[in-house]
Amino acid sequence: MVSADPATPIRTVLRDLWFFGVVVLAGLLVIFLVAGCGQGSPEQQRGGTTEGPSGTTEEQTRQETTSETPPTGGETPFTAAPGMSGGSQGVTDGILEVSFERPEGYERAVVDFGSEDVSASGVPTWSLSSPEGEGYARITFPGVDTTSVPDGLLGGSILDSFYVVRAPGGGLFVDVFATRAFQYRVTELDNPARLAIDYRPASVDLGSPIPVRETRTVLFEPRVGEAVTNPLRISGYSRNPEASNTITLVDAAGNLLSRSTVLSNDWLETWGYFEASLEFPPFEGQAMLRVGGQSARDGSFEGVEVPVVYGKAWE
Amino acid sequence: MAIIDYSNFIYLPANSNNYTVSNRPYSNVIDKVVIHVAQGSWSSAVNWFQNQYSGVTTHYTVRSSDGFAAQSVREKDIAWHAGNWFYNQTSIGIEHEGYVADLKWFTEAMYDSSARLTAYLCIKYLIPIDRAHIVGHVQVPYPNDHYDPGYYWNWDKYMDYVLSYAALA
Repeated sequence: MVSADPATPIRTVLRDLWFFGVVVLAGLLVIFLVAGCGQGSPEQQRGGTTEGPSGTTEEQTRQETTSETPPTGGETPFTAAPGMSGGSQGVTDGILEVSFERPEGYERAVVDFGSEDVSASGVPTWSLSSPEGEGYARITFPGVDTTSVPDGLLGGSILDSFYVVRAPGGGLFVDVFATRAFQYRVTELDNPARLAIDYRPASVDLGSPIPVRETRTVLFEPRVGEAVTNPLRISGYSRNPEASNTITLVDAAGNLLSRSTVLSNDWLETWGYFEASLEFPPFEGQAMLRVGGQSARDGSFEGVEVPVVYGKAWE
Repeated sequence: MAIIDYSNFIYLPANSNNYTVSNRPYSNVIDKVVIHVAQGSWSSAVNWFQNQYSGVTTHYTVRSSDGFAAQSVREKDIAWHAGNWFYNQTSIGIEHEGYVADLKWFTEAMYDSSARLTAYLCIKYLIPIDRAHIVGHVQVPYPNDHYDPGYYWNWDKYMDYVLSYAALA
């Protein structure tokens, strides 16, 4: 029988631990250096993208030429132009994530692209169609059909929430809502390919009330207090059961003036867009427009209620 | 009477926020089958029923391509599908993949599988096989803003298939 020196294994373990420690420290140093080069701040990424030879440069230039606020210190101005567009066709058909960042002086919503957790190689074709003074920005992606996130709260002081909606003409659009009037810009980012929508407060009031939003219905037309004429155009998006949306208009005495049902173009995968034309008789004073669905449990109304008046302008 | 077999399904449970636990048929008689059309795909319907915020589910969802079904809620429990509490308490809801305005989703495989499932339920719970007890979502009393399964759903064919399968029992 051979008896081993009890100190030998301990020395071996200590030597091995020392060697292991050196390897780990060296590894951490390498990781740190790689991270420092490849994962710069959003601003660093934006700067690189702006200077690159891709189509992104064009979009940045177009933003600057539409600026109403002179940029300071090389900063991209916060005035995006409705109708601006960018991206590349065929790079991806999916939205992976919409996240929130709070860089110095503004707030940012970031749209990540890809499918099945694999990031896209580029930003898909997009266009901006946000009406001025409406309290939201809308970015349409005609080549994108799937999304891993249908909606979410962004939680900023100016950036409020987002919705991913099946667009009526194909593809998806993303609405990014603000809490109040804002200036904004849209920027393509590289590595990974993302689209950033930056908001900062503006010193003016919104031109119209922000669309009314409830758990499963968002109503864009009409807005609260709007003067309505016959026929009334109604539009919005929802996730009501089996895509069914009920529209009723009730006068101040509780009489039903009009009722209609319209299907949205989605409800299971993400928010589905709907629009309708509602005919109604003249009415006195204020009426209540209700748009929404029925509770699948007991049939109770679940939706938005918007007071409207007959034939007068907003006050 | 023998109970016909229905095994062409997988159990993919809905989120418990979307149905009421019960003990049917002891707590409530089951005397109706409600036929739905999803306005969407089979997988997206089953996934949405698993979402805690959806507020909706059926007991079964039948796939268009091959008739394969997913069970989201046990038959003893009350699925929230009809938009009417009395109907929910006393019915089994069957969702079907597809769109009311698009005939191509209503395949032979889906009719066949769904009819077999309905026949199985009718025999099991002694539900009369007629259009007063096998109803479309559209037939659920007011308030009801749904009109599925819609114009393209072939009720004559469906009821013939249900009767044929029930006769095998």
